[in-house]
Amino acid sequence: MRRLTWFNTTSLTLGFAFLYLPMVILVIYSFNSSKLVTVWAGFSTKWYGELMRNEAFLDAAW
Amino acid sequence: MRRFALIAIPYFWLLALFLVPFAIVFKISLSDIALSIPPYLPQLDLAKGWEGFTKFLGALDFENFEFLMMDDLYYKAYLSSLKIAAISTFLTLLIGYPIAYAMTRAGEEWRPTLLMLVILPFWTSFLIRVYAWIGILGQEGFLNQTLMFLGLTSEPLIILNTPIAVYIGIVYTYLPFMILPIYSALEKLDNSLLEAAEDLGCSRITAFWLVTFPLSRGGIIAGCFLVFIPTLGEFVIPSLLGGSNTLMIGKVLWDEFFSNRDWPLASAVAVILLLILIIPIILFQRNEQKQRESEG
Repeated sequence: MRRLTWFNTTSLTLGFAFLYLPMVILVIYSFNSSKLVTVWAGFSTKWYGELMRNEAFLDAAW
Repeated sequence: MRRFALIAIPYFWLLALFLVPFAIVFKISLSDIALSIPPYLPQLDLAKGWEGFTKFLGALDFENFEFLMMDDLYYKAYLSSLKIAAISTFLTLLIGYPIAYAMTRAGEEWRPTLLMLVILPFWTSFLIRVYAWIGILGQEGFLNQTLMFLGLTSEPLIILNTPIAVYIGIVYTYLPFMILPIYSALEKLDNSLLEAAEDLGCSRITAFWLVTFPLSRGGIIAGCFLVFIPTLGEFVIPSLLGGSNTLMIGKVLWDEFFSNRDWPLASAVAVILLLILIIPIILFQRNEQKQRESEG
């Protein structure tokens, strides 16, 4: 089997980090209790509760 | 007969879903704006027969195209779109090629997983992924907070609402479209060619430029087209990330259509955009064909 060079490993790591970082950040901030996207105010699942209560959202998902 | 049917299907598809809509858009681009539904004149009235038809033809003109030539805004928007599309295609290639290359270097058992990882971002909404970048690049966003926490910058960098944010957004969104065709070109590459090159005294880097790179040309070209063409008319990314500082023809077209409700002018913008895209593609294909003929 061929071995990955350090260059190959670096490009894979950085490449996939670039592709996935925004999504990971988005998931983390969905547990933010603050209304602002950028300010962290503590862990909470309140936005998931809001989502369950919002019928327009649920209808759109179907 | 069967062969005819086989050829007819794609041609019918193109005719119905490309040529007919284009003809309609072209007709609207020759019309004049009017306060009616739909908001342009003339409209073809078949009840008036031949006379109505000649009157209809007589009312069409190239006024909208003349207007596009006169006003600086459109000319600048086309140029700026071309520039942004060219630079972002180049950046996407620069980032995408090493990733695609490393994917083919990874062991067989890793490849399906890596391929899946490239495709997976499509499963979430494109809009949400672009929106996430607003949170990252903003003045109090994730990036600036990290940089300031590490002490690398003392003041927040202004990235959001500048062309840099647009480039980041475009490269991020279209990266999979560049990786996939290059990956499929590189995967088919015969490894014995590289071994032969090394046996004949090539260093690994020279072997890459003399063997691997030319053989992946098809993938590179396909990837560049797949990135360049949608980027040229891109509307969502510049409006979300570029603010008012980035001029792109997609945004101009949107404003003409939805804010000014000037359908004829918007159609003229679209027709010229299509010409800008089609002419180089035709020239390129002709060049390719000539090369193939001279080689064969």
